[in-house]
This record gives sequence, C-alpha cells and structure tokens, in this order.
Amino acid sequence: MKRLLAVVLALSLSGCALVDAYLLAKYDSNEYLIITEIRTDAGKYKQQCDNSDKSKINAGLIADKTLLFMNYSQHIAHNKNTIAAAEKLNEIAQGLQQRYTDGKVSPAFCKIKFDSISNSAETMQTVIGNKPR
Amino acid sequence: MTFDDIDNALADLLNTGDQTFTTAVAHVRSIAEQIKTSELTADEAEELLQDVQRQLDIINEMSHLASKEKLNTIINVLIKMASFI
Repeated sequence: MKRLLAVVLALSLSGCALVDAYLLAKYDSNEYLIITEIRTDAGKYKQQCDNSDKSKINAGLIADKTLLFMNYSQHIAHNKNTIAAAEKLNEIAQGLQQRYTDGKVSPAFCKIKFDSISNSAETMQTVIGNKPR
Repeated sequence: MTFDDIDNALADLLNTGDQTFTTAVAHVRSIAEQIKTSELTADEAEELLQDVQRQLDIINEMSHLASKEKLNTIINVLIKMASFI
C-alpha cells in the first residue's frame, strides 16, 4: 500500500519539476552569510542617508557586496532561482551607486533604495536558509 | 506599468496566502505608496518604480525556490519510506 502511495505521488508530480526539486542546490553557508551581510549593511546604511558623503561611500560598498553575491551564486549548479534573484538585487544596488556617481541624490530616494535592498535580502535569506542540507 | 497594475500584481501575490512572502509584499506595497507621496524627482521615481518590479521578480523567484524546497523534502521522505517497505 505504501509503495502504491509513493508511486501515485511520484507520478502526480511533473517530471521536470520532480527532477528540478530533487537536484536542487544544497544549503551553502557562504551564500547565506553574504545575503545576511547585505541585509544587515543595508539596514545600517539607511540610517546614514541624511549624510550624503557617507551615503555615497555606502552605496559603493553595498553595490560591491551584491555583485559579490551575484558572482558567488552564479556557478552553483541547480541554483537558477537564486541566480535570477541575485541579478535583480544587484541591479537595485548598482542603480543607487550610479545615481551618486551622476550627481545629487535625495535622502528620501536613498532611504527607499536601502529599504528595498534590505527587504529583498531578507526575503532571499528566509528561503536560502531553508535549502536542503 | 501603472500604479494600479502594480497594486493588482501585489494583491495577487497576497492572495496566494504564503506567509513567507506576505511581509515582503506588504513592504513593496508601502514603497509604491511612498513613491506616490514622497518628494522625489521624476527620474528618481521612475527608477524606484523599476525597483518595485525588480522586487516583485525577486519575490516570484524565491516563491518558486520555496516550492522546490518543499517538494525536495517530500521526495526525500518518500525515498526513506520506500526503503522501509
């Protein structure tokens, strides 16, 4: 009966989804550490948005870290969703750095940007932390 | 994409009832509201709206990954069960 149940459950899943899920990239402590650092740094940097000199430096630091995360995740096998999310997170951070390179940035813009980075990183951290051991 | 389109997309995500993403979706919604009311230049508002779309993409990717993680757990439980049959 158990064997029948197992076969029925297995057949009810599409083949592709089954293979994708079975081969899913395992939990990687470095990946988890970097996304945690991005979340923590972004939360801290948001508090300094009223100081434009500090914020310009912070924008460069966070952009370097999201780039590191994207490059680190990029060649881990069966890691498609994390790679795609890392690319989007890096785009958000690079946009902030580019604004500071181009000229003046309003504190409101700076705060919303760091909020977006921090919250997206938290969403990713929650799911990355649940990867199979 | 207009503010209404964004709000509809966010409402759809909230309706999935997945607790993992409820907070994230609520945050994106609050940012979209702030963009409407904050003192921002047109360029800044445009970029922040593009960021809202990027955040929606991140939530979608992570939602797919969370589903795969659940499926991975089920497969491994099934394999263990099969070994006891």
